[in-house]
Amino acid sequence: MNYHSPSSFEEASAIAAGASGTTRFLAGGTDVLVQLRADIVTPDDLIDIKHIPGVKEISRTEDGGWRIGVAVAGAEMTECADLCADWPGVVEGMDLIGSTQVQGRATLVGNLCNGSPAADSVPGMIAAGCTVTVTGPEGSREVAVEDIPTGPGRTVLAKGELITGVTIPARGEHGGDAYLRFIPRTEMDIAVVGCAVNLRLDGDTITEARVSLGAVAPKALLVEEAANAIIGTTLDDAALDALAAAASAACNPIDDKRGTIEFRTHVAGVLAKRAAKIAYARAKGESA
Amino acid sequence: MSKRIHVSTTVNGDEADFLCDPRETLLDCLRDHLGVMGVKEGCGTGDCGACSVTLDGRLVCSCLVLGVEAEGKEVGTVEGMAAGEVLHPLQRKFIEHAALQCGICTPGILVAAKTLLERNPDPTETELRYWLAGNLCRCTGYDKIIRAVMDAAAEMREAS
Amino acid sequence: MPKDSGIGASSKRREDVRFLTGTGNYTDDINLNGQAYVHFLRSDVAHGRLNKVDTSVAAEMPGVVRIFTGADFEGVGGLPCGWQVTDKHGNPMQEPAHPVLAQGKVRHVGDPIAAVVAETAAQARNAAEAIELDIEELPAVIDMKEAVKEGATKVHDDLESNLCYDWGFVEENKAAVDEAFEKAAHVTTLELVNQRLVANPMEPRVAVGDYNRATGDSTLYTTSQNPHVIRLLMGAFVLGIPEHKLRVVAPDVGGGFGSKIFHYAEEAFCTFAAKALARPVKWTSSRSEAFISDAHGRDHVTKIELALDADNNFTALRTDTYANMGAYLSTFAPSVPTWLHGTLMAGNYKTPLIYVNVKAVFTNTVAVDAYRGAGRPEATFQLERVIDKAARELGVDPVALRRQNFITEFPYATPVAVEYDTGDYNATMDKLLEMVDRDGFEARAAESAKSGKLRGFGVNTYIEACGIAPSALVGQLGARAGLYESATVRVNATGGLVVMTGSHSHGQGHETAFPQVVADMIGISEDMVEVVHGDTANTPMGMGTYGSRSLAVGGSAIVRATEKIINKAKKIAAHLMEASEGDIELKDGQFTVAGTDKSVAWGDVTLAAYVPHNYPLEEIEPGLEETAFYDPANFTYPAGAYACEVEVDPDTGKVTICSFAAADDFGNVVNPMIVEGQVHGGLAQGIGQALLEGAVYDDNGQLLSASYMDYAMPRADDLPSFQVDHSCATPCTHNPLGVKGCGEAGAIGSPPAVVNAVVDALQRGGHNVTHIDMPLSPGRVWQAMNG
Repeated sequence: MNYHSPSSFEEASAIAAGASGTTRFLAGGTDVLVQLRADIVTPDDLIDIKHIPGVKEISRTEDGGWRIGVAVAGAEMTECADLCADWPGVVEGMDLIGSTQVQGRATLVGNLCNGSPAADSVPGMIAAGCTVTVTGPEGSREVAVEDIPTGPGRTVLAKGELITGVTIPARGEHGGDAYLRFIPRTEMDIAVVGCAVNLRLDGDTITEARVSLGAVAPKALLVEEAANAIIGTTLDDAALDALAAAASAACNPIDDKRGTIEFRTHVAGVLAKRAAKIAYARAKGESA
Repeated sequence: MSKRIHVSTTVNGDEADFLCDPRETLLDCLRDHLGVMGVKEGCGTGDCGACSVTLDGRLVCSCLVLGVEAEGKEVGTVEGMAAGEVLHPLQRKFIEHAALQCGICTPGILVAAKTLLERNPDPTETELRYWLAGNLCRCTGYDKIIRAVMDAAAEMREAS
Repeated sequence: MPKDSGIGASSKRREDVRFLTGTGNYTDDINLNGQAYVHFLRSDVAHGRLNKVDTSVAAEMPGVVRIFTGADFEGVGGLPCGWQVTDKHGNPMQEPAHPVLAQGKVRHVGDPIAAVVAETAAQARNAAEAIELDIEELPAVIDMKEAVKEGATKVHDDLESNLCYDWGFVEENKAAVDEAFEKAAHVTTLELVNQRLVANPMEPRVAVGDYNRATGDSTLYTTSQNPHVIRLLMGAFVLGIPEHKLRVVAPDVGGGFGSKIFHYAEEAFCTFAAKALARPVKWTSSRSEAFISDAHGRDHVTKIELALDADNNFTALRTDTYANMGAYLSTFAPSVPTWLHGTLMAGNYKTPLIYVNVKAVFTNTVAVDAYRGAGRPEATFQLERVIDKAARELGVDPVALRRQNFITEFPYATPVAVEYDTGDYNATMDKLLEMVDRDGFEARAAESAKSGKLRGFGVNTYIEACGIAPSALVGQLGARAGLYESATVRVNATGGLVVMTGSHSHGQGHETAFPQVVADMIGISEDMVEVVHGDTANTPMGMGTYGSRSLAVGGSAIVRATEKIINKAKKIAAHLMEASEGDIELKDGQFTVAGTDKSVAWGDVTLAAYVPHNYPLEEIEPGLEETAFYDPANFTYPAGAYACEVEVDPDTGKVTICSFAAADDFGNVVNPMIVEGQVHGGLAQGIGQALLEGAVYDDNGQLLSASYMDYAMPRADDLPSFQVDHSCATPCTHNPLGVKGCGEAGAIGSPPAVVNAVVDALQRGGHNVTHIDMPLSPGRVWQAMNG
């Protein structure tokens, strides 16, 4: 295995594009190292991107949004008070990945590129409308988060391409987001269902909403029907029921020992309701 | 066989150099190349926390860090907790409360608890239980660990 | 007034300093000069004919020293089974061969096929991938009931069937039991699963074999709970090495919980290979390897029936259990569902007629053997669940129904072959109810309801047979070993003592508790007593640590050896003070002559023993060192009452433990702080079984729960703080310390309390749920509520 520590994304991309065998990018390493040690994937070239300037930075964009470096660990996001105030749901999703120790290493982009349908950080990013910058031999492009995974373990990234940053939009006025997941226990497990809700209010009425579900289909979903169920409402009981029904209807989960299809479908609805209530309260400036 | 890489790092405040295969984890490098045996392997997948160390002050599982990533960084392990013969308050309180049995997970739990108290000197029991959720202990049921850390935190707050 | 030293004091654990500073010496911390590393190539299919194992390419890989296969072990013994059960017809159980490396067939995922020894662990791993295998896959036998059907694929071709034994207990009682059921006013029936568990000590197994060419001595360093047992089994049955040429060392061991009792193939391999290669050979298990090579626990499928008369007295109990043995018989596997399970079916109750049937079955799964509690948790769970179900069917208070049927007079001979020496089950129940504020439950339930949660209260009792075990009795029951324990107490010239014990400490705190006993007897400081254990070279032949036996049996041996020391020391003291031996008293480390002011100190006497200038040489030998072997007269019977309160989220089925209380009777207690910790740990494992843990195989014999992501063990945020009490002590009547053992109680007593509480919560919520199989995952609870 060759270990590389390039000093620019262009250099990283060139190494990957020119490599003949298996290539992996190393940021937090929480997935790559597990695969390496279990002899599941032994890369011929391992490209450590942590030495590229700026990858550990969290910064404001010109329009008031956020730019998260690709090597920013979950714990560093949780420790950024302004980011937590703007996008608690995005931060919650990241914060739910693994233990304190894993939080010290795991990154948003790593979680996204691992391609797990149950990746905890992804629904929050989708609901928030996050985009990522993809850099490759042909240059850079901006891609919506929901368009990155294509199925379990697969992404749209081509040979030589890597994600070089995450952009979270400006929070704006009267907005709130939340992420909840359900697992057989309370920590460390893979989500049975994850649900993120991001919404904006005009007075008591929801004017914009995005709802995303994780772990219920081969990739995280942006569920328009669920968003439509609450847009124009004050999140009354009827709207919540419609939201739950739409979330459940969007589920296409696998049946394994972590939960039957029926159970997962039901819980998706329960979580959608609970997440929407939290997001709504946050949009109103109430603590939740 | 991959080309071996020279790594210069700091372990518990002392400069340390080693040669490693780039596939080797920090855990293996600490144990096999530097003789730092307090780090333990319980799972190798970052799920048990027995190999917990700090890397530039950040709590990590050393099984999920490559040895080469320690270049220029500061590594902290359980061996760095006591000042000579004087035990760290957490170590003393673990004895007072019998917060360990077989001892294999204990170094990782101490390192984890120490990093928590550095950030949050006055954690609630719930905060502490969540913080330590990455450290599996099969012997104690955690009860005495929680009491020992809370007691140590109280003592450290009084002393500061 | 709590004592500050000796028996009854919460002395601080002296072993802790080394563990807390990273200076413990665990097996994986041992690296010998010139050591090679072994990697085992294991079967990835559950059942198959091994047509070819071609190591020719692999053998040429970098760093490979030698590759061993099953063929290298022809003529070497297989791994022995230490217990032979006799079936209900009087025939011995079916006992298959268990080769060190697979021969002819592979029988479970993880069965070792070849062992690659190389200069580094990575080289051994790489070379193993280059071994060419031709395995003709056979149908996997996974389900026990399918396995014993006519025409089922056989795990072992040379056995008659997959049935290891069909055991009836007590077979002579069967007709009377059946008759009692016909006459019963009420019968409660419950079918349940006590799921397969993985012990998962946090330290994976490690073995380092060494061989000294000059002396011909072999040494094995291993993660074992009982080094002498390993030496005996491996030396005598597998490798043919006499004990005096074989040393087994179990240094600091990172937890066992039963899984490190057994003699494993990897231990035999490393010892064998070290001799064959004349260099040290080390194996360190990965966690994923541990899941498919450590013996598992539990895995019973049971139907239990309880008969009651019109006054709600228990009149008979009948059980029918299938017990999974896995693919091979692990060291003590046959004893677990029989003598450690059937003999406990009376529980704390005076049920006059009991019949237990157990069918032990071979399947293409990892071997199942003792895991914390071993048989007794299975007995307790089914009994306490069926009683709870009966109470609900009859509309009576579950506590009252239990109390009505408690055994209250001792000694009590049960209808299942054991005699309880002492106990007070009402006392522990009273204490428990005082601890849990049962009267306040309704208010707490109303509070839970406000946040949409269902609250439930569950209670149960338990009894266990510990202090394993009277050798003559277990010999009659099929044990191929004695179960005494040993101690050598060596007093040094300046008065310090070394206690060499056959018990092994891997978290139990023996290094602290045993000195408390000895120091108390002599009246000296605990610091003057040191414990040596874990090395066959410097401890007397002992049977090790399991079955909550260390203090009850090992501690008793220490008491007996110390008594011998004191007796001899009194003779010396009598000589020094020119008094009669009968007048010598020992108190606070001083020998005095009754009725006089004469005294000599402990240290004067010990010095005289080793510098015998003024010494009764014609009467006694110099020196002060004694050995005792203690063989218990009976089991000990710790018992108690446990209660759990839970909240269930009806929308998701998620169960939260609100509180857990345990009132135990362990007899006398040497170190209350250590005992508390033992109970806590047991509770965590029992609650883990109830809510989280389960080893699951698919139909092809692949273990689905083979990592910490998939096998959920309790973490700090899964558990509450526990309330524990052991003040209701009825001292054991037949060992010198009056102790009963505390290591397994928590794991035995807690699962039914949790399940009873969840069923209670659901029934209070209007759901007609009478049972849910463990683990009570949210999905299972939700399914149960929603039909």
